[in-house]
Amino acid sequence: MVVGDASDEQLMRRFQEGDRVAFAALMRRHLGPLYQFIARHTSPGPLAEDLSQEVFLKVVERARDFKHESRFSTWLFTIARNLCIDTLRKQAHRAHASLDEPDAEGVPLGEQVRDEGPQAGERAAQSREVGARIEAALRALPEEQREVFLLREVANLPFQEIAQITGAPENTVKSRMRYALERLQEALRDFEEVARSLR
Amino acid sequence: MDCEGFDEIVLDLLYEDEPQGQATDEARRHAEGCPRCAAALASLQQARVQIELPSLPVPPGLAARILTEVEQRQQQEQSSWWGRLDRAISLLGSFAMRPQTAMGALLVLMTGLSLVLLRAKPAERGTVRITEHGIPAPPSPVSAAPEKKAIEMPSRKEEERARAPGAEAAPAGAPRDNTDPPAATQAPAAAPLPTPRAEVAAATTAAAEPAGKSDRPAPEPSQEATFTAAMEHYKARRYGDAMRAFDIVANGGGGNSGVAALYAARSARYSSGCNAALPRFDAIANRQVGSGAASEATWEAALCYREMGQGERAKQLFLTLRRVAGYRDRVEKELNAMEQRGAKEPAGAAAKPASP
Repeated sequence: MVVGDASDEQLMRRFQEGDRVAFAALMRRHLGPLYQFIARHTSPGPLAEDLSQEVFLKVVERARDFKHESRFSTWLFTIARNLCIDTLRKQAHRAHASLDEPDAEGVPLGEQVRDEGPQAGERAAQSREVGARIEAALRALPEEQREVFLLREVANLPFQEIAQITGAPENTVKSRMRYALERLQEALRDFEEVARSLR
Repeated sequence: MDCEGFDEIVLDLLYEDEPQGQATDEARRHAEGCPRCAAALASLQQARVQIELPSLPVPPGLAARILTEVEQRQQQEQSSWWGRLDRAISLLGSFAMRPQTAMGALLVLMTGLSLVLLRAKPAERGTVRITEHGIPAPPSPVSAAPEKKAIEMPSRKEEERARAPGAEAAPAGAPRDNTDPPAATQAPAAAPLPTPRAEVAAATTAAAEPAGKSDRPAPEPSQEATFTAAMEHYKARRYGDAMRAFDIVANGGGGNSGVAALYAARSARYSSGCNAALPRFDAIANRQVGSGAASEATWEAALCYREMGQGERAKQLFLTLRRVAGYRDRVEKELNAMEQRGAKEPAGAAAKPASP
């Protein structure tokens, strides 16, 4: 079986049997969403990188405990969420870095958005401004709404899995998601036209 | 479907990742006819488009860094004894937690317990056949033969050598009266009373005999060594140690088991008195009927009973021994003495025999 065609669970079984290539495939498949989830849950930069690495190390350490009773992505993001919560608790005494405050690498979060298009100048500036506004609105969300939003939009997990990860009923998860969407929409109402013009 | 039902399912319509079923079809139809719900769905769809998060690129080199770290961690885990132990425990634990393993372990435990609790008694103890006269019947030639061979009686020359002053066979300072332990001077000419040295020699001889000549298997070397050690304890008057060692040999069931049982009983008598020794003498007399050890055990038991003031029981045993060659004279002497004393010695007066 080609690694790329295999499901997460098939790759995990192969890794549990000692296939390191399968682990590498799993890691590359989930690293992007995982990093985005962690970076937006905590803060981007070295901390998110370290936490991403820590998540996969835990996957390796606990691989034999994974009984395939849930999907691999559910398990992976459960580990990630718990790590994020623990880290945030430890850092509770520290002030959260402002979006406008440069991170360790000196780049504000709002300016770390990938600039994929060839457009430059005003369009790129507007895009960065919308991105920064979205990030700010996201950070302003209550914790439980933010994590549901991230798991849904960033990790692309179905509501049933999000309910397993957060330990909340599925209907509650959906309610949180709806509230999150409505709040974000409210926060971005001023930029509605700008966003439309960008897309 | 009403608006409340629509609100519950609107996110499934929005993301369309759930299997679309009857409920979502109904919700769609409801939205087509309900401006409020249609506006809500449209608003949420618009929000999704607006709020699409800009992508955060994964830092270059992070994937390689993670793979390297994982590789190092795995190597460390494999090389450390704790990691190996952890894996072994985990593996064993996963096996132990299986119901089949638990049932198997229970089955093995029950089988083992059954074997321990229900095992047969050693065959060497044999059976006691009782005649119509109420006394143990002499063993059949077939069954008696190995016993007689095992307790090979000393020759007259050996016995005379044992009677010689300072003979090692008798414990030093052995008393000279009839209550004494088996001293050489008390042994009748033809009495099957083996001296320690003679018995050791006999046991060794029996062990050295070819297997074809003896029905009983030769004792194992370890048993012989134990027997020799026991005899050394006996000679040195360490009767507790001697008793334990003789018991080992007696329970081992080898060729020396009969003699060992007799000496264990004697050791018990000298260390703990007649009360402790009598059950042993009785057991030997009953189990090894017709053997020299049985006759000697009967003699010792009779003496014990006499010392404990149970004259009638002692007399009964002496009368039994009167029919055994080699004991007649001694028995007559004892019976006469008992008659003269009227068999009225106070009970317990000599319950604790003098040290041999």
